[in-house]
Amino acid sequence: MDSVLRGLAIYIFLLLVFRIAGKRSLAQITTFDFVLLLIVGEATQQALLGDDFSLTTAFVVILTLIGVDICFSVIKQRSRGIDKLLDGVPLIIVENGEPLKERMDKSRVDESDVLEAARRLRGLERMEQVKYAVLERDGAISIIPRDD
Amino acid sequence: MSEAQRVGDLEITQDLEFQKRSWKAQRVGWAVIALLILGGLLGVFGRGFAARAGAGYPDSPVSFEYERFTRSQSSTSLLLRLGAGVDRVSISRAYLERMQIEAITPQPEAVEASGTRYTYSFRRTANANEPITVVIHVRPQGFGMLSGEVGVEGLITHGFWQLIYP
Repeated sequence: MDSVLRGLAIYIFLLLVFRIAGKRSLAQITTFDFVLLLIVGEATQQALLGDDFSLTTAFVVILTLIGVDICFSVIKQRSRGIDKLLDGVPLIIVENGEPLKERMDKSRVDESDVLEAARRLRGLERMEQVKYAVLERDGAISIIPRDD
Repeated sequence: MSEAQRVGDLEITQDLEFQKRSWKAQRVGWAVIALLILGGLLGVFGRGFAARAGAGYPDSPVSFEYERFTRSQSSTSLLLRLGAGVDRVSISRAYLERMQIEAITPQPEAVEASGTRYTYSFRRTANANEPITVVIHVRPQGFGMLSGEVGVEGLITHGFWQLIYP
């Protein structure tokens, strides 16, 4: 029973923390972010398993984590509100070549991030060639180029 | 999935009202995180300034120091100071039942159990006039608010509480 509750608590805590941190936080995984994730994993591991080295506990914890994940995905599928709450919504940050400053500031994205995505994904050279840039729910930036 | 709406040529589930609210919620969340970090530094979760607590004045038959806040399954200690001539100390059973005692330094010579308390007695050197210090290393088992009593039978009893985080 203990390990199920631990798994549940850790899942919800991490969900909450990463939601608060915002979508940009670990969206583009830099080397350092990767290391950070490993450390978070390391810190979590002790609390998840305690000093119990049994296979059974490991199985129970894994099943709990995956089970909660399945539950949430089903709930998200059924309820729009909860889906938004958990995953957020996409946001247009460049419209017809015009960066929408306030939205970008609030989301902690700047023009160079958009230009980088434009170069990488579409081979675009300038902001004016971008018709739309959308900050997706997972923190990635999608680029839609102008038609001409 | 949310229903997609049309923004310019894009079909997108953008929701600016919701986005604004979630930015606000995020800022509140950041403040909460900052407060928790600060609390951690101060020792609200144990091992720090805010966690230190004591009972009894230095010259009393028994005085002790402990952590007001501590965490389940994590070692903490009770530091007992027995005054001149005192060689026994009692701790309430209700408290010790929820602790795993890892070590008592020095080793008690004898333990007597009664319904409500355990009494540890220690062998003193011939010079019984100096105070002695006893450290009890414990590991809380459950979590929640815990209250206990430390005292010398017939002389004095100090009550204390300890908050144990999960």
